[in-house]
Amino acid sequence: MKLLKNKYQLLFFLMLASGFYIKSQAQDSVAREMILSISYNMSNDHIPYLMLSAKEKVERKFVPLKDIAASLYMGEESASGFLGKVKTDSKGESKVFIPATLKETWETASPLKFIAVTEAGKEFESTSSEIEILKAKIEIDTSSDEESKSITVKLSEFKNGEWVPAQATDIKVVVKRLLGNLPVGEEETYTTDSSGMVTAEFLRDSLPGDSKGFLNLLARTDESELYGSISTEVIVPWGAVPVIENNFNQRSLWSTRFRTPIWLVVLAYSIMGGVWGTLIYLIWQLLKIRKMGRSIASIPAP
Amino acid sequence: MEKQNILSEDKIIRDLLPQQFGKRGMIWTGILILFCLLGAYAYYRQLRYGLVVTNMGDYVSWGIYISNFVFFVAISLVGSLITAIFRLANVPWRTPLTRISEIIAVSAITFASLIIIVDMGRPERLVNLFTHGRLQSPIIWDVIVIGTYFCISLFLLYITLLPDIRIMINAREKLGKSFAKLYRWLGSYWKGTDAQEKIRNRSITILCVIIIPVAFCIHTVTSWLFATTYRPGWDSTNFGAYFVSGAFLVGAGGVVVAMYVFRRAYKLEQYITDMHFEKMGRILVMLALLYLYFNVNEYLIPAFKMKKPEEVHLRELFAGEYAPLFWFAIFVGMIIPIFIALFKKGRKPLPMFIAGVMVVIGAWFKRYLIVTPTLLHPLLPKQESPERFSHYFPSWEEWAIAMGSLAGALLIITFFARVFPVVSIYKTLTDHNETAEK
Repeated sequence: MKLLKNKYQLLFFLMLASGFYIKSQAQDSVAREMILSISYNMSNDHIPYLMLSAKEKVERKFVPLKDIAASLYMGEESASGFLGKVKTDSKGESKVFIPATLKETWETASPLKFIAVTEAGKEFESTSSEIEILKAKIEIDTSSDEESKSITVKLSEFKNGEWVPAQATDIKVVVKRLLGNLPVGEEETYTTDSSGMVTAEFLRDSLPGDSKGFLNLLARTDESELYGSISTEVIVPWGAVPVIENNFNQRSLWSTRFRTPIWLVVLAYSIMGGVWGTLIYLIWQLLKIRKMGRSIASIPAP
Repeated sequence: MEKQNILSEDKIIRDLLPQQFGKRGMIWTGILILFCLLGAYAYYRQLRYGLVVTNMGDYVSWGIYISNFVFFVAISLVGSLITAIFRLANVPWRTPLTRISEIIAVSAITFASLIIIVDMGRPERLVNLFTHGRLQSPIIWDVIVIGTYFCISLFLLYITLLPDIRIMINAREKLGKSFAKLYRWLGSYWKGTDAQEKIRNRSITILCVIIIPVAFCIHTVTSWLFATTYRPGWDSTNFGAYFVSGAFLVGAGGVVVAMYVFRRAYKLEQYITDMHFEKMGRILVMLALLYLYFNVNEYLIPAFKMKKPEEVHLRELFAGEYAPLFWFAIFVGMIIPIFIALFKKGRKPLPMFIAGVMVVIGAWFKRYLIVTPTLLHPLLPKQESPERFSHYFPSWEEWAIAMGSLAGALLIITFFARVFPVVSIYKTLTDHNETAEK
């Protein structure tokens, strides 16, 4: 009976172990799919760069993929268009600037094609992604009078060797703040007209600026499929000059030792004076006892 | 006390005069010296290599040293409880307890000051506290109030000793020459005249009056070191009262333990009687209930609201990493002693001694729990810090220094008991004569 019982136990454990093995094999056999994307960015006519992003979808959530090596190319996947080799960081991102060697190609060609190719590894197969963008630029002009302030943004695209107005494109016109961007008016975005222009009314009159009242205005195409993310910034004296009350040199609880609040000085020294004055009085009393003792002859103890 | 009435004055003096250490006393002193030496060696290592020998880090910058400091400050409050409050309230049975409580207060406050210097890491910078200290900082208030309390406690101890010193000078034949010079240097001027006695009595009364607010200040200010910071577990308006009530409890527990030990070691059963344990038992229950009440306030109200930063802290204490220690401190430090001393049989010397030991041990761990878990949960997110910063357990050097400081405080009490009477001879004789007259 005991043997029979042991046999059943053994069988049960074997089944359990094989179940785990099959499950782990099944999990291993599911191929993981990498989602690779690239975006084109340029700010204030500075050197453009590409952002590479690698992630995968796990249980309906996007999880960034770290340490994914990828090669980036401009134009075609060849040594002549090679931009660089990058590895993604903990956010699954990596940045590569367009090198000076490809400046001429970048200046003359439009549209521009960018390709990213990852290497095949143990976990993922080789994956590629590509985008094609039209080279564009943003110009900002501002005007103000006593009653209103406005911002005119012009978006141009590089087509057939010349800059022409870019129509029907959404542009954000914002004020740069410390933790984000604030639209200058009621609208979140503005759409360019046939001349590639938008005009935004500046409705943030009381917005605090820097120490001299300057604000940074920014116009940008936000991840546009045609142009990527390009932006231009201007500084305008439209902000309110903040009035900062400087209490650095005033007496306070957080000031230096020489600027202690008067009430605290009075309170603390009164208490200390009271207690230590009493102690000094008692020491004087003790000295009096001592003097009395020295002045009289010895009296036997009880 | 009834028995005491039939004692002769000679016997009282003989019983209460300091005695040479017996074999057990020598072993006890030897053990304490060993602990002190180990602590001194650990401190040498800390000075030599820096605070890196401790397990403190960016988050837990106040570890076992500050827990120990708070414990010492707490237990030092006993001087004001027994001597000052009992004297001003004219408690008739206080005589055998006052000297014991005064020496506990002096030794504890001495080591509270020393442990702060240990925690500083760079002791030569102590002077900066005075030359660059800001009156706005609670740390400076603590330095001032600890220094003041130390002076008052020492003064009170000394001035109450004067008549006994004279008795010891006259009893040099019994005591030998070992400390004769010391006695003469300390109190040869005391003749016990009416004028001297009048000034002494008035001085003691004044000291008793000023020591109470200073004692309240010392522990309230210590609590403010924590409560003036916006941190879970410390950000409380209850902290001053919470600390003072805890200090009274641990002080009373410490006195009960010392009473029992001195009674056994010096055979003082006729002076420290069962009645004293009975009375102290009642006080202990009252103080433990009071401290328990403040604990309920301190933990229940934040737990009811469960603000996010408090939540992590409270969960750690109630059911997390610190739960065993937390419940140990609550039960051993408060609830079990209440149950022991609540019943008449529990207020006998031995059960009271056990209750006292439990209160003292529970109180030590309670201070550790006040300091450490809060430091492990800073309000700002922890970024790129080593994993070890998220946990804290003292290094052997920290343990050795902490234990060495506790041994040092006990050593002061032990040496004091060797040199001076632990129960006031003069006051016992006065009480005896007054009782006889009645």
